[in-house]
Amino acid sequence: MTVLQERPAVLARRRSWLPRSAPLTVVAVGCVVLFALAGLLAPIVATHNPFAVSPQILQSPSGAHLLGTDELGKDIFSQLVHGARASLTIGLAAGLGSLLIGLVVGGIAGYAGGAVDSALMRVAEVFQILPAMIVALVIVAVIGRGTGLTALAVIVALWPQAARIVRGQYLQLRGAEFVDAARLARTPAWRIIAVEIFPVAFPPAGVQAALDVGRGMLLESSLSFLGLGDPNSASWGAVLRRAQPYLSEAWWFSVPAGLCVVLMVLSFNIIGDALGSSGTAGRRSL
Amino acid sequence: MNAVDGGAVTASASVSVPAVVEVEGLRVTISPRGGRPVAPVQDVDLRIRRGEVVGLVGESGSGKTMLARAVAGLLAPGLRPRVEGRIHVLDRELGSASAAERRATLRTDLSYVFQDPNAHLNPTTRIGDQVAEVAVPNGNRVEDLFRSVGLPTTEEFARRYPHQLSGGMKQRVVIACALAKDPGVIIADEPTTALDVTIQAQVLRLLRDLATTREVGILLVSHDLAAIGQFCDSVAVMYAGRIVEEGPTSAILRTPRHPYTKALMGALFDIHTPEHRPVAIPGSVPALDDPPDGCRFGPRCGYRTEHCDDEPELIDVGPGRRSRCWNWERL
Amino acid sequence: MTTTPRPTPQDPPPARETLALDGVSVLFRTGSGRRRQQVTAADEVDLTLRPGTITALVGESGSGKSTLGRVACGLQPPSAGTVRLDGAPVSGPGLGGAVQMIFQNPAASLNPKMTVGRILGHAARQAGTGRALVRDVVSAALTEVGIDPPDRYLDRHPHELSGGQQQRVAIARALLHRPRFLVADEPTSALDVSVRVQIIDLLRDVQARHGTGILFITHDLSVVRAIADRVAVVYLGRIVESGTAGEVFGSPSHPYTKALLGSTPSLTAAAEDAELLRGEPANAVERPTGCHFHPRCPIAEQPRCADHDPAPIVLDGTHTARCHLAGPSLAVADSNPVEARRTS
Ligand SMILES: Nc1ncnc2c1ncn2[C@@H]1O[C@H](COP(=O)(O)OP(=O)(O)OP(=O)(O)O)[C@@H](O)[C@H]1O
Ligand SMILES: Nc1ncnc2c1ncn2[C@@H]1O[C@H](COP(=O)(O)OP(=O)(O)OP(=O)(O)O)[C@@H](O)[C@H]1O
Ligand code: SF4
Ligand SMILES: [Mg+2]
Ligand SMILES: [Mg+2]
Repeated sequence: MTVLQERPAVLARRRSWLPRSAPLTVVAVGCVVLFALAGLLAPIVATHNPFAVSPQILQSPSGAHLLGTDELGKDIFSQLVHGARASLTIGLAAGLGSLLIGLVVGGIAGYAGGAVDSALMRVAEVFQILPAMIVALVIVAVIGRGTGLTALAVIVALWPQAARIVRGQYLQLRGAEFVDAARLARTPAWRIIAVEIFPVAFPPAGVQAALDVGRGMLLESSLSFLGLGDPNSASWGAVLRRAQPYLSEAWWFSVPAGLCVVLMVLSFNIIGDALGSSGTAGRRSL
Repeated sequence: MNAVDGGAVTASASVSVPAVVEVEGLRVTISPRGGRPVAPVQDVDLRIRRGEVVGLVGESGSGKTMLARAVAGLLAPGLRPRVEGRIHVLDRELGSASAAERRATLRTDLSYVFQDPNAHLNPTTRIGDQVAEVAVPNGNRVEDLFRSVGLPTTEEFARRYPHQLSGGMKQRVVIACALAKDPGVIIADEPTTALDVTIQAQVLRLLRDLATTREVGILLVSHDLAAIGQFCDSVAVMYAGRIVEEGPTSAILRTPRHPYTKALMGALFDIHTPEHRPVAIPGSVPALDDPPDGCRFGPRCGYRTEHCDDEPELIDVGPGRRSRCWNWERL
Repeated sequence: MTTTPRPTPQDPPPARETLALDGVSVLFRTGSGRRRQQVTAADEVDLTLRPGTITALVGESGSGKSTLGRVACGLQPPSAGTVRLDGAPVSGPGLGGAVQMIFQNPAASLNPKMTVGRILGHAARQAGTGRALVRDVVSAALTEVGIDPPDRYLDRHPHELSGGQQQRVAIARALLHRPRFLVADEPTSALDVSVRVQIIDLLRDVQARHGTGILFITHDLSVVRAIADRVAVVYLGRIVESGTAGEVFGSPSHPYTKALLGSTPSLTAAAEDAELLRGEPANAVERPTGCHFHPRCPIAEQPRCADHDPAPIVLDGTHTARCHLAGPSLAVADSNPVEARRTS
């Protein structure tokens, strides 16, 4: 009925993509950039060869070893720097992979609706119910261990959430008036899904992808911690796993690695939230 | 200052009726995050008497809601509002009062009705209980309140939840809640915009009758000049944060003395005079942070003269009537 | 925009050239399990649109106006009944390109992520304009709806336009398809009064210039009175009164029509005269027995009205009403204009 929805020129307010809590977001973005750079430039940033064994085992932090050494005398700082590469790679793979699957599955389910929707969502539910650990165990048991397989396990665990969100968007937007207008113009369905709805549905999915990067890194750490990860990887989870027996005597072995994981997961969560609040904010200007 | 009292004194018999709300020189400045401070309400005087329904009209964005909320002390803190000027509610000055005093006055003497009844009702509480919560401490009976707003007084009805009611019924429950504390003032911001015309007529007539029978002063905010014309004793027309014309409804509608009022009337379709060809108002309400020089309505005004480059004041233009236009006599 | 000559209202088209809803019913199923309900949004509705004619569909919220509008442009397949174009059954969105729609909320009807140029460009391409001509065609369409100069607007996103401009763009988009019929679903109810007139004038212009038949959905009778050629009043999914604007406004014959007329705010009449409706809008899930309107009807005669469903009665010419008491005997309550308050 007559609800004056119109907000005329007077409401003109430009918003940047940066959300309200800008300072926090800047810190988060800074952290990610820092870690990404460290990972990319690992050979330069690292002070030692992360795999070089030495007799100085379990040494506390010092000028020679910024974060001390592990049970085999390897430099921990250098391991974490190289670990950033492994962890971020898996995290990004997880985020992108689940986003991609989520967009395709969620998009089809949401736009088609009805039986197609029900069937796809039941499949998603099955994956959502299965604990990631068990999926990972099965993959490890059946195929073996490796970075790619860890990423696969993580994606398998994360995609249903992304699909759900995209599906919700499509379900809602399918009835939007601009979609009706496109249908009246005899726009083919694929075009409505990909060209009309996709750009509108994407931001929330993108937010989910950012969150998934964090969740993916966390999952990878847990898998590595439990020994289900890539045995050759120097990821933070792998470091944590090896630090297990020395938790009390060598804090520098476990704490920095744990901090890295927490910091990255937090950063991606903050970035995700920030994207979320700026993506949904209505923009108006004249 | 403007001739505030002069205007009121000439306003015939109504002088003796005490005002329940008196606003003088009200200015509201908001500083939304990420934006420059702007003043959506400026230099507003407003008087609501006991038993009187005052209509507040104007285009979207003219500042009606800001004014109504400022009087009710309901401006969103997120806007970081600053309110200057005098606001009297039932003889108590709210501007200088402590926050606690102000809240006490507003809680006991003023009710606010929102456009969306859902914003007011708790979806998980039976409507009877919601009204009783306010009514009982004030010595009112839910049954009487329901009767006075035209709702069924059965037990079954009182035990319903908001979602079991239609929009019009919900708005009546909200009005019952508003009446429950025997307020001196009710401020209703577009209370019928979401309702059907048949229901709108019922709700507006209800408000009209309540003003008379319960001696409440009502501020009725609306964008529909026709509805206001039918149910209000007096009208204040708002444009770009200022009141540009005010006075008794019948006089204003017979002979508008501000070009904006006239333009608003001229833009309406009328059911009884289908041959009348409405004319749109050119242009749009100016942006708050970029107001035109001189008269705010100038860029859209058909009566503009050189004089209008200076900002007009609200001046007396007849018994109880004031207009903010240099050329009101030429209308 | 290049226009092919079309029949104008002056030379009436052959009667077969119509868009007709023929006994159209629409049922929606909501909820599931025990909460499963059936909503009757339209109930055996007959409605005919003619070229160059504005047909108004009025009624309260939830009465089924939008549903009928969506059926008329093929967005909603009817549960029963047929939609016929020039006598032949048609279906599918746009009914083969014959019908376009203007929506209530202009902001929502334009893709928020696309520029005006892209939105209209898509429409032009979809309507068969060659790639090379798109820009010219789009510019011409914008000029036609009063967005001038078009170049300044092509790169804007919908949120950078005012509500009135958004609605103009939506109309331009519809016109690019050169529809024979246009369904306008409350095209002005989200707009300010000052802009409302412009959009309505634009639609009348389109009607006159292209001979488009318009189904104008609204709840504002004062607009209907000013612009409509024909009027259909809907109550709970049924047309309870229809006829030419002259017939319906001149001698409103269904009590619901009268209630609507009496409740419509006016600057020229006092509100006190109007007889108000009792009760509350009924809902489309549990429609009352007999005449659906009887629980709110001020003149209902029991038990007839509660027990028997009235059939449409032809009053005269094309004027029909669905009321047991309709007919010459039902005195026409005239709404006295009290005093002409309007100044000119
Ligand atoms: N949250 C906000 N942030 C910034 N400016 C705002 C906000 N809310 C309102 N304003 C500004 O305050 C001015 C007055 O707005 P207000 O809501 O009072 O208008 P109104 O007359 O009630 O309009 P409507 O008829 O649309 O309800 C507007 O120009 C608007 O730009
Ligand atoms: N997709 C749907 N699913 C279920 N019920 C629906 C659907 N669309 C409409 N309805 C129901 O059908 C009835 C008619 O709705 P419709 O939107 O056609 O009414 P309307 O006259 O356009 O109302 P309004 O004036 O509020 O726009 C309502 O009871 C509504 O709840
Ligand atoms: S002061 Fe001048 S510009 Fe302003 S309303 Fe009056 S005539 Fe128009
Ligand atoms: Mg408002
Ligand atoms: Mg509708």
